[in-house]
Amino acid sequence: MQEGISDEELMLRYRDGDAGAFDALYRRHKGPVFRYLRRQTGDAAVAEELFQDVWIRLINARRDYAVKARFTTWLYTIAHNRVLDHLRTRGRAHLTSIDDAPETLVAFPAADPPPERTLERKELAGRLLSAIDSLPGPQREAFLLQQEAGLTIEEIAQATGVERETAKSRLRYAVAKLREALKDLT
Amino acid sequence: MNGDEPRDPNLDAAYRATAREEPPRALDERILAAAHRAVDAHPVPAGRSFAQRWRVPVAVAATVVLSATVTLMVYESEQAPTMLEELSPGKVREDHVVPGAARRGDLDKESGGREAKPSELQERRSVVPPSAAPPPATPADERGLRQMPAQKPERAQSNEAKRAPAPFPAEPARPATPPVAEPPRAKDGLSPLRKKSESAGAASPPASETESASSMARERALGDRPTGRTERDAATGVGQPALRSPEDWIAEIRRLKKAGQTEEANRLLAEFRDRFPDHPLPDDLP
Repeated sequence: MQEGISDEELMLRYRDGDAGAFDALYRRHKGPVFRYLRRQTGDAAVAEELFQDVWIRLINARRDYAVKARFTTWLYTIAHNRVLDHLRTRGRAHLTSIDDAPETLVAFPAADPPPERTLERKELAGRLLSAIDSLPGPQREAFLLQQEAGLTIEEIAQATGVERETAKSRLRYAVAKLREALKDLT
Repeated sequence: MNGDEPRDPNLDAAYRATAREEPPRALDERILAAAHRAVDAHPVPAGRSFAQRWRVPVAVAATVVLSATVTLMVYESEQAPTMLEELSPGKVREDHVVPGAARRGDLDKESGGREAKPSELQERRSVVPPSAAPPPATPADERGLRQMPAQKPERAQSNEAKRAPAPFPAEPARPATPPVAEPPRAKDGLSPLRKKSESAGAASPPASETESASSMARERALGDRPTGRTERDAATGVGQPALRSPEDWIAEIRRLKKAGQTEEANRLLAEFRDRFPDHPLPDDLP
């Protein structure tokens, strides 16, 4: 029902009391936001905690919502701030280990590929997640905001509170390092 | 999307195939329930009493009025002797040159070794420009002028007495806990982890420490050099100037407002809203 409506319009509707609009927004963004937090914190439990907090903050901030930028930028600004709060107080708890990655894939199988394909994909997934995890925080964040949130460089800069050139530089380093990490697989 | 955006289609595809985690269903339900409850309950916080709502604005207004009054009083009390002294220019000048030799006899001796006659006093008075001169002196005023050297220390003392004690409130009366520390939480008792994180927040290191650490780490990160795990975490940006805490922003905005720099305060407030869209504003900031 709400599929063709923009995020901004949905948020305005939610602000004005349409709870169904929130459901649609949540369905659209829950996965990307969760993964962003998961990779940024390196801990599933912490990611869940922050995930909940981000959405509760959004709910509480709805009355002040006005369309000044893309909803996604607004949402990830909140998420970015929560990650920073968390890191200020606790630091990144621990890492996503390489062994975690295949489990993730097993839990969410794409289709039914042949066994050798599955193994290859597991290896690729493991290598990629490990490479992402080993990126410096700001570079990892820039990459995740591009991939998960679909933000442009300008929007990444806005969400993370840095200059455009800084965001671009972070993204360039991230992509180069990840490409290098996967070059014998892709 | 811009053409200069660093991007690798293979990498995009690999990431899309890899990243599939979703939040647990129970979490979905809790969040959706909270969202629905928030809409059902009226958005205006009805529980706030009149006193709670007006406590901060009234405290701020009282502080401003009090500060302005005291400042005005001090200013006026400093102006009054100056104006009187201008009526006896010789004395004032000598006062500045020889502090402590403020006796009229001494001054007159230095200026010519003789007592000033009433006609000379009259002449000196007529030299004072009309704009600076108070209304024409009455005989009573004249007596007062002659008694000035004796009165001045007393007045100075009373000025000091006005300045020294506490009519200046060092800090405006603020509520014990600033209302901006944390946004209002949903009354749904969600995750216990959140409480832990909030209490841990009180023990966060000073901004200056994290700032220096993070800026160093950021330099390393941007320099494309391999870094250790701890450094990378610090490099996430904690403490960057652009990322100072919301409380610091609000304190700065309040300071600017108090200093009368409304335009700058408003600009900072707008910037704050962009940086922290979810952070509730305290009552004294519209």
